[in-house]
Order: sequence, then C-alpha cells, then structure tokens
Amino acid sequence: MNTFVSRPTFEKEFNYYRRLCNEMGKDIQRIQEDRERLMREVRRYQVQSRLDRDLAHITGSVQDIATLVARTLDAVVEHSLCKRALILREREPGSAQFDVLAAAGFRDLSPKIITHIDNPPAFGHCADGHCFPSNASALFKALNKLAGPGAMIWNYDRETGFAILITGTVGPIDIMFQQQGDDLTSIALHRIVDGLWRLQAREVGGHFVEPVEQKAIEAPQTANPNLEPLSVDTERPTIKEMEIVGQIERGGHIREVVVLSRDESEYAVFVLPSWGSGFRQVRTYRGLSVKVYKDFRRLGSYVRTTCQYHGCIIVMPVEAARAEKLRAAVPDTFGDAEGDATDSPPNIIQ
Amino acid sequence: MVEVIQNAGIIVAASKGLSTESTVVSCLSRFVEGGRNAPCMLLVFAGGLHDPAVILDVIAARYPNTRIVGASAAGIIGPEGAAYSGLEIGMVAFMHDNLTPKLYFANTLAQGDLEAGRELGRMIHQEHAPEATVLLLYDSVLSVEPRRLHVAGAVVRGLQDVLGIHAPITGAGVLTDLAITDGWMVLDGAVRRHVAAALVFPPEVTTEAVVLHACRPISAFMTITGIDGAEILTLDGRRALDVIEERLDMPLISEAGHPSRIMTLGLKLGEQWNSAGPEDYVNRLILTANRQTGSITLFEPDFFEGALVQLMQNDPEMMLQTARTQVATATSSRSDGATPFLRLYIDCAGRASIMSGSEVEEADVVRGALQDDVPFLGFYSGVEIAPMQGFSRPLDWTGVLMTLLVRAR
Repeated sequence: MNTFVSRPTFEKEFNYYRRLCNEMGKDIQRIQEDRERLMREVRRYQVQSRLDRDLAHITGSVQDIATLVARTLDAVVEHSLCKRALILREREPGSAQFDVLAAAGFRDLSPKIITHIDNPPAFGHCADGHCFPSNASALFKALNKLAGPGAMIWNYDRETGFAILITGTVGPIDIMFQQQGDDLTSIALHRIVDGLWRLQAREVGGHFVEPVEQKAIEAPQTANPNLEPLSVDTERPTIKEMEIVGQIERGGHIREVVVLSRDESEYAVFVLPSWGSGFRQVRTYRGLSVKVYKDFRRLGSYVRTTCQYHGCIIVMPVEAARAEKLRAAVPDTFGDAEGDATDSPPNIIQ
Repeated sequence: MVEVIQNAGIIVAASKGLSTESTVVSCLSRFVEGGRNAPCMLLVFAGGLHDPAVILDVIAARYPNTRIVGASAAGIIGPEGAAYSGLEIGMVAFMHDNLTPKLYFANTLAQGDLEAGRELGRMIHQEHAPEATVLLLYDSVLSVEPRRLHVAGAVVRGLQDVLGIHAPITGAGVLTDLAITDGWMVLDGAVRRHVAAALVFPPEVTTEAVVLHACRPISAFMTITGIDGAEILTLDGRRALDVIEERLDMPLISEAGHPSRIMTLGLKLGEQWNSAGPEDYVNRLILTANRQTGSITLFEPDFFEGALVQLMQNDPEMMLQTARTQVATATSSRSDGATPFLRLYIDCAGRASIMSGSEVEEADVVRGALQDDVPFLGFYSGVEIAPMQGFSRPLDWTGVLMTLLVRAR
C-alpha cells in the first residue's frame, strides 16, 4: 500500500534519518574509540611486561657492559615505536659530558660521540614545544641537536651516569609513543643499572671495580683489610630494619656493610653498627624474615638510603673463608648455601 | 631470528635486529644452504631503522651478480609473525630465471606522478604484452613538511594510459614507518627516492589478488562541493573540516595540524541507493587538514566535485573475520591446474593492531588462514594497488593478498 507523503513531510523525514544516521555514526565512533583506548592500555601493560622480562633475561646473562647496552637498546627499539634511540653514559658524575654507547635509527644523522648536557633531570619529555620539567628546555635543545626533531623522552640515573633517550615521530602513533615511552625508558634504565651492578658483583679476583660515585668515602674502608674472618655479634646476630632506622635517628651510624652473594643472584646484607660489637644480618622491618636481595640495585639503594651508609660495600661469595662466622651465625640465610669454602677476596663496590 | 619457507624456485626469509649488516647476513645465510647457486633476484623489504646503503653493500658483497630490488616497509609480515619496530627485514629470493621478473623503473616521480607512470608503461610496453603481470612498487612520500605524498592513482593511470585499463597491476606505495615519515627503494645498485618500479613477470606467470576490506559507513552522504586535487575545500557547501568535525566527538587535527585519529572518506561504487558491503567502497584516508582554510587533504586526488561521500570507520571484528574466511577460501586447493609459487601480502599500515585497535594482528590471522605452504611474505604499506571491480586502482585501509601462479599448460 502506497501512502502519499507531501514534499515538506518527506524532507522532514529525510532530514530526520540523516541526523539519526550521523548520530549513530558518532555512537559507533565513540564505542570504537573506547575500544581502542582499552586495547592501547592492555597493549601498554603487555609491552611493559614483555620488555621487563626480556631485559631481565638480558641483564642476567650478559658478560659485559657493551653487550648489555646494545641488547637493551635493541629491546627498547623493538617495543617503543621510536624513531631514534640512544643510550649514553656520563664520563664523570656531574661532568655533563656523555658518551654515546649505542644508537639506533641514525641512518641520516650521525650521533656525536660526546655531547654536553648540563644539569640533566632524572626524567623529562618534550613534545609539540612543551617540555617537562619546564626548566629543561636547554636540555631538549641540546638533545634535539643530537637526535633530531620529534617528541623526546629522557631518563637519567645520576649515580651511574647512564641515560636513555628515545624520539618519536609526528603522526597517529605519536600518542602511543608518548603514553608508553615514559614507562619503557624507565624500565630500560633500571634494568641497565641492575645489569651494571650484577656485572660488578660478578667480578672476581679482589680488584676494585669501576667507581660509580666519587663522593667522599667514609673511613675506614674496612676494619679487616687482611683476610681475618669477619666477626659477628654472637649475642645478636641479626638486626631488624626497624632497629637500624631507630638507632640512626638517635645518632648511631653504620660503620661497614658486607654482602654475601650466592650464585651471583642472591645477596644477603650484614651491617656493622656503631652501637654493636660485630656484624649483624639485616632482617625485614619487623624482623619476620631474612632480607635477601635478587636485584643488586635495590640492595644498593637500601644501603644508601635506609642505612644511610655511603662507604664501601664489601661483596663476597657465601662460601668465602672470611664469611665463615657470618654463615655460622645465621645458617638459614640461603638454605643450602653451605659448600666448599674458598678463600675468595671480596669485591668492593663504592 | 630467521624464518624461512621455500619451494623449488622461491625462498623467503625474514629476520630482525638492530645491526643492519647482521640482520641481512642472517637472511642471506639461508639462501646458500645445500650448495645452491646465487639467487637471480632478491626482493628485499626493510624497516625504516635500517640503512638501505648498508643493505645494498652487504648483499652486493655476497652476491655481486644478483639483481637487488629493495623497498622500505613500515613493517614485515614474516613466516613467523608480523612486526613493525623498524628493525625487520624480509627477503624473497628468485632462484631460477624462469620465474624471475624483469625490472623497470622511472625515477621521475618528483617531476610528476602521471608522466612517471607513462614512462614506466612505455618501458614495459616495449617488451611485454599488456596482460603481463606487474608488481608496482613506488616511494610514497613526496615531502614530510608539508606532508605530501606521491599519488598512486596518477602513477597507475599513467601505466594504464599505455598498457590499457585492464592491465593487471598489483602493488604498493612504500613507507619507512607507520608515521609516513619517509620511503626509499634500492634499484640498479643505488638507493633511490621518488622512484616507481615495475617487476614484470614472464608470460607464463599470472596473478590473483584478494582484497580484504573492513570499512563501513558511519555518516549520511555528503556532497563534495569544492575540491582541488586531493584537497577537499567544501562539503555540502560548507568548510569541509567543519562538516567532518560535526560528525566526530573530537577535533580531527591537533593544534600542530596533525591528524588526531585515522578517518576515511568512502566513495560508493555501483548503484548509489542499493545496499552495499565494505567491498563496494573506495576509501581515502584523510591525510591532514588546514584549520585556517577549513580544507581536508586525502591520500589520493581521485574524488571529484559532485561525488557523494561518507565518513567510514574501520571495524576490527570485520577485519579479522574477512581475513579468516577470504584468505582460507582463496588459498584452498584449486582445480584449474595453475601452480601458485609466491604469495605477497600488502597490508595497509592502518590495519596494524596498534593503529586499528584489534586484539590480534590481522596480518597474523591472514598468515594463519593460509591453506597451503606456498612461500609467503608480507609488508605494511601506505597505499595498496589491486584490481577491483574491473580495473586496478589504489586502495586505502585494505589488505591485498597477491598470489603469483604459473599458468596451466
């Protein structure tokens, strides 16, 4: 049955359906946009965990810094959608002179060997002319000369001097680059530092490893420069983190720190407090368990911050003869760690 | 990482790494296994973080007599998966003369896309029949600031002016990355830009192309009332950017003038008011827009005044579903006696999961849906070119599965 529709009515109806069509199109876009946002979030976390996993494997297996840096850069480039990437290292802390250790994407732009980056922040980014932190425009100007135009993300570890820079491109993927780049560079830098500590911890033979901080070192470096066994506070062989924090607040200090390492993958901390008569093993804050680290960087951070100890950290294998009394005092530290004693001299990390 | 698939005359290898030299070497190492001779031709696709000059040097040092055809790629779809970090390299080695294409190129794109296409057509026409199978590759990027592209439609039209409208041309505009930053090709022993190359296969080789679409209209029709090449000035008599943004929940371009999201205009083919599917539309990505003039610029300049166009939206679910079904159908066993020997998948960069928001890589779905073990290599492109509704034309936001076959005797 045909129903006659007048032209004005037809036009109203026509316009109604046009509006309806456009509104429904907007709804579809909104749904699609939400979906894309969700997928980007999922992807972001997936990429972060994948990068962290890859880098954990790398830091646990490489034998030298050059390989560590090259493989880290490889992993960062693979996951970050960057156009260019650099890993740099400051020659001396505060020197503002950086060596380019590894570079990617510089097909048409040669990275300088050294550049001057004055007072670099630990973190910064720059896109569309806006910088964070706001006073870092000079930094990004310098980096721009080094790495060319584009959004930039910078991460820097003052203590070791390592820095990582990635640059993005202008376009639809720029948003994703910026969203995930902050986290990815941070993960990468932490893993490089972790790898550095691990490499230094692995060095055997009693030589001093490369200093990473030139601050004045609290004397004495060690109370036992010879190979006498380290003494233990036999009455109180362990110490809670809570006690350390409390005593330091009351004017005490940590005189020495010794780390026992098992398989270069687990580390237990012993401190010689000014209020005690021998080394004591650090337990958790409430003393519920032994404090054993797998990440040497975190250990370093704990010693420097919580223990407020800035002197040498002596690292030795758990089997070392000098560690005999420490092992005996707290036999549960590594479970089955007892083995053939060897007389390995300690590494010292400043 | 090196993955290899091969048949008698074709070997495909893909690898990934920061070092261009070692990545190339790891691919090449597979071609010499079993005491094979050097390839007759190497077709190389490489991510934008690799240096094409190094690629050329490494290959030439190993195979001084092998013809090298190289192109940048926003990503590689290798036998083991798709990736677009810029570190990937994929290669197709043509081991025997009988399947190896002849190479022609015109390095005059910068002077004019149409004339470069005609020049290429004339070269092909001198030695081949009009129905010869052509794989067309060209450098997509004319300039970055302002963002301008070489026009695939003009290059194809130039070829068709000489070879005829029905010339079977399949191909791509190549890019270095998803952000359309650059493009390059390696031809005749040198790295080249603003160049178009045609690989023309022997007469016994034919081609099939499956075009995968996934765009659906999300607006009513709009009439183009002002257009200058690829720049649409007005829609429905008003500033085009205003009309488009009325239909969006966000600005089309950022403060810096860059697109904030991928949007496409679609031109419906066939009868205007009939029901239609995604395959009935020619889509053109909106490349950029001008806030001052209110114009929008498309990837290609082939829309015209009076054309009715619609905003189009990529549907990730449809994209994956069509990849599964159409690829499985196209690669199932055949009864015509023709023998497929190589599949190339030319995938729009916009279909990568990071751009389209799909849960999995559509290219991986395509790879998984292949029903045979014919050597396969894919790459992400800026523009895809394939026969559609009667003749070859540039496409946007599509995946083109090109199968090369030896005809039945």
